[in-house]
Amino acid sequence: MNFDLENPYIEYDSDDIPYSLYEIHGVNKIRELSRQLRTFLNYKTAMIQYRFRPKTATYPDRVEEKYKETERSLKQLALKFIKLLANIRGNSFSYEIELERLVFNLAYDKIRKSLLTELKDVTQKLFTTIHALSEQEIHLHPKFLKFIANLTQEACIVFKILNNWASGFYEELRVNYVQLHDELTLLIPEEYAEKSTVRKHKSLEEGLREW
Amino acid sequence: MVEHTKVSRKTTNEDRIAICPQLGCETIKRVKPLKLGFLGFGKYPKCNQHQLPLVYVDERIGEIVGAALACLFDKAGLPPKVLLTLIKEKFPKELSMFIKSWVYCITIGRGAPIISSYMDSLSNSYLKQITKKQLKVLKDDTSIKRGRKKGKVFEAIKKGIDEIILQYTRLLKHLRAHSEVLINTQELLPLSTGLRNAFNAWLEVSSKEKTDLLKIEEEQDIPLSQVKDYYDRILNLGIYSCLLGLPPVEKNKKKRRVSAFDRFSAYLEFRKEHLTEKFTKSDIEDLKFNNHKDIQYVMGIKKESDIQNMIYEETYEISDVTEKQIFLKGAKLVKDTLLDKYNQTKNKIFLSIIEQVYNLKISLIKEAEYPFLKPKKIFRQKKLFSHKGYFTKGELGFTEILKKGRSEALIYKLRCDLPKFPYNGKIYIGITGRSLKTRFKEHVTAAIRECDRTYNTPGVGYTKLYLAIANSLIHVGWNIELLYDKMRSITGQQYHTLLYKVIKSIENVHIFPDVIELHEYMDTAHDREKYYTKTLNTVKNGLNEYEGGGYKGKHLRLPLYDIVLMIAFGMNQHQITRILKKHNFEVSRATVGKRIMHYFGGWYEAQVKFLKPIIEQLFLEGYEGYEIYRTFEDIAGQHQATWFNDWRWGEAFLDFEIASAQKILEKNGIKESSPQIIFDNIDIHYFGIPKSKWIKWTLEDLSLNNLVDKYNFSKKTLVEIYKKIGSSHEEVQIKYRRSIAIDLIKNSGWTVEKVYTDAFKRAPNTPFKRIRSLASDYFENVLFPNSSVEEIYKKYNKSLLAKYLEYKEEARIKPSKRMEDINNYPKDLNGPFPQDLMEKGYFSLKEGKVHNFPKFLRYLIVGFIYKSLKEDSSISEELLLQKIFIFSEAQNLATLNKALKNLKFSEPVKEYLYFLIILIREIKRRVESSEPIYRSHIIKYFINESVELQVSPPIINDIIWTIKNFYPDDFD
Repeated sequence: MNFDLENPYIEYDSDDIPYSLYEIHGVNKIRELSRQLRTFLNYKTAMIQYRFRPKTATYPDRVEEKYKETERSLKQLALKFIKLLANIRGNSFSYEIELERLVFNLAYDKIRKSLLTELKDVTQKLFTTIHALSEQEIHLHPKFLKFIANLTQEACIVFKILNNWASGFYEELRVNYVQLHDELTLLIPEEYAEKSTVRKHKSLEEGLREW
Repeated sequence: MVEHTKVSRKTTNEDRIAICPQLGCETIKRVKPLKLGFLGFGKYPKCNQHQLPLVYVDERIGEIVGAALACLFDKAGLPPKVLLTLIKEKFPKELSMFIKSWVYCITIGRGAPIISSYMDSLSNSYLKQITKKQLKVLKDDTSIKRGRKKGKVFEAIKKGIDEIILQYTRLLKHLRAHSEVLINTQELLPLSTGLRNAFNAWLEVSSKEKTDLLKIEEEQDIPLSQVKDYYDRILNLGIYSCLLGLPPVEKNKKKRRVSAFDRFSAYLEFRKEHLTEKFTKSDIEDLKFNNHKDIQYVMGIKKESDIQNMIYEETYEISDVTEKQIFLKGAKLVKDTLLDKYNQTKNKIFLSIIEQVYNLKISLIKEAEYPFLKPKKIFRQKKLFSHKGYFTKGELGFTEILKKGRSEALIYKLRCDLPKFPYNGKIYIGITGRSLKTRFKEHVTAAIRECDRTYNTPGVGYTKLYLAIANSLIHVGWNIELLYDKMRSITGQQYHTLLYKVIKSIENVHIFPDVIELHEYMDTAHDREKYYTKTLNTVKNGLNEYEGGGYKGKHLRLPLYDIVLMIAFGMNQHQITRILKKHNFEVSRATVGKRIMHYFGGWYEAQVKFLKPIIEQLFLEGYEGYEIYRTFEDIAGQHQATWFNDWRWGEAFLDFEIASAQKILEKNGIKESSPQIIFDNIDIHYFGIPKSKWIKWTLEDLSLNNLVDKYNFSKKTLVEIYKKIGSSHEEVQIKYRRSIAIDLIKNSGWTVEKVYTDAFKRAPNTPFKRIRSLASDYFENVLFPNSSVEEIYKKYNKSLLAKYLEYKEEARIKPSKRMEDINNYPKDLNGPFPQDLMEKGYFSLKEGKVHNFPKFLRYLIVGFIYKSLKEDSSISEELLLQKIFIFSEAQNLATLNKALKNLKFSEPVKEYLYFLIILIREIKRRVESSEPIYRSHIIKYFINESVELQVSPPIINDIIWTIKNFYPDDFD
């Protein structure tokens, strides 16, 4: 039982250990929850970091390769996720109602069941990637941060319905993300382009003068 | 602190996980029941290291989260006053914003991420103790239900996991509530460069200090309060980092001296020793306004006399107070009753109430605002008062004691100066145990609240004093009707600012408050009050309603703190009096009421002060409003003329309700809003149940009788509640259904039938044809009287109108003709297919016999399969069959339609399938209701529906064609 911070439960410094470490143990229920909590706190921290960033903060011109890769995979997963939801929703009022109906009424329909399994799988992967991003320097990409806060709300709804055992937790998590998203909306206006936050490196002297 | 069940292998009948109660110990074990109830070693498992009996994790985790929350929201997490002084001096404009930013960063800065890793460690080790077999069962939720035998074994482990999940949710709730209640994020700005520089320097010094602190803590045996101070200083470093835009926990630092476990275990201990105290909104406000004294102190400019006074003030410090002096036997009695209730019901709300009231007790005793039952005799003070025990205005020493504010009671005078008003120049004599300022504030708020405010004219039934105050307010230009609403719609600083304005507008303008006598103890004050009311004749010729005093013999000191805690537990005056009598306080209810008036400003004010925060906290803890309401009503029965009663009837609101309404408005871009707009946006709780839920029930067709059965309310109450929401249950239903219907028709393109069945949940299991007439009837006569469905579509959704007209037109021409044909159809069951109908194009089959309808139906299904296979050969037959039957189970056609749209079939096949389902349903219905299934009936129905559903004749032909081609024998 290790309580020290020296070994945070996801080691990013060592590249060979993947963040999906959680999944190898079979039952990852509570583990999943603690990761969710950690992810949310990471995003909240990122928002604070962005909010109180120094005026002279230097933003990297070149985005880290690892970050890029995660972002790309997240975008792909998000696309898949949204498509699945659209598929489930069909022409009805909202996908939430349809999903609930699917889970509770049509458990014996193989096609729909396979749809559900796929959704569960994609959402799980999505959450893992969202977590992976949260462990990186996401505060340097505020617009994407806002997008994630929005996307995660939907993922929470899906998990709320799929994981009945922790529906209360996921609902609360969703509300927390709604709050986060609202704050980010105020913080980053729509027209504010991501690029404008990326500033060029200033020389040390220039920086010091401003301080 | 909760007592934990000590682990015993004798009493447990299933596997559970237990830990060592010693803080910082990492022992965690799985406890198994003894074989046959007595075989096995280690009947009472102990920690090998500490030799302490183990406790169950699921009982412990709530406490750990409690400690974590205590750490996050501890008062010590607020900005240090020395730092504030610095900022106030050098960056005065940024002070307020700095405090807000600090509070904003507290949760993350002080270690929310550390909590997450701590929780993770704990739940991980919990899982590690579970066997593979148990894991396998737990992995699949449903298997527990399926395998009852297995389920029994793992029930406790599952319960433990549930408890951990609950605690995670609790943690998140508190984090959210922190941002919602305490901070307005719109007001936050990054620090200016100057302040940032200064702050950076501060951080550097503090970081160096950290290492020293850790060394001291390790080496020396220091008191716990000091340890807490060190811990807090280290934890606060995270907030500094956040404010500078840095991560609160440095990522790459490998060797950290204080581990997460250390920090929170420590807080568990601090909490146990009552060293922790949650900060509130007013604490944050105080930072801005009341740090003057401390600033002087830290700046080294405090005068000697001030320091002397400080010592004088400190005589009431918590450590000096004994249990006997405060006397809390009544509250203890109530606490035990609640504990009993908890043991009976296992409802955690009772424990939460006890915990909240306990927190209140700690802060009250610390503040020591009210006199204790047996106060310490203060030597210095005794000397100040003369032998009489009181000072009258004008006597030597009066001003000095008034300034020091240490008299236990004072008699005051309020003079009304309002020309042309009957009470002009009249006087009110009052007595209070607090300052005149506080008491006057209460008089003003009570006057605004209690008077009849209609049309801004205070009427009869009002006390003379309240009339005088209300009329003074009107005279200076306030509209008390609006003012009352305004005061109910704001909270916190806004409320106090408004109240200050209101008071200042009449104080010393129309109402002149004045202290006339100071009393060392309350004992002497009553007689003097009586003396003044008599000599000044203030009852007959003044603003008093009754003569004061009225005490025979000696003034009886009452345990005020006990009374406060009982109020916080939700007890009423009768109950409190009864409990006090049990403990040898011979008092009447009136006396208790008077004492509450003197010290807390009346029963209403007392509930606002002590009961309201408890209820508010319970909401934040995640309890349902109805549960909270029922619990308090069970404790004290019906409350009349109290804050609780007002809250019950949706007249008074909780702070978080107002805050969330304001947030909604802000989100919609409304900054300045009238009270009425805020009220409209508050999800008011009626009997603990939010308005939105009451409305939802009406939308879903839940009648008053259903609610009576479900929630045990009387019908009269329900009628009253709906009267408050709208004018009646029916009106509310119509009003909200109308707006929802408009929204769905306009924005989602729902037809009236769909709205009727899906949104209003009406007419389940009714054939579509019937729904059509029911829905249009409901819309035309109830929801939109005097307008037809056509007009509704015209107004809200023109694309629907076109379809509707088309249908109408078709229905106008075809049905009558078809119906005629069908009615003419011969009733002979075994007869041939009607020639004339076939000629008219209904059937292309020349001649056919259908002897057995279910068989006929079977052919249809096979036909469908055949057709579908033609479309998509990869679909298995079995699956298709399943599909047909599943869809026939669908509750109504609207959902069926939806389901069909999702399937990738060609249009004719869809229609075909649709049709089949109609038939299956009709047959099922007939089978269930034991009606005969005759071919003639079915065929009639068949054709009828085809008209109604606009199934084209080619499709009907198609069905027959399929059957004919596949099973020609049956048809010839």
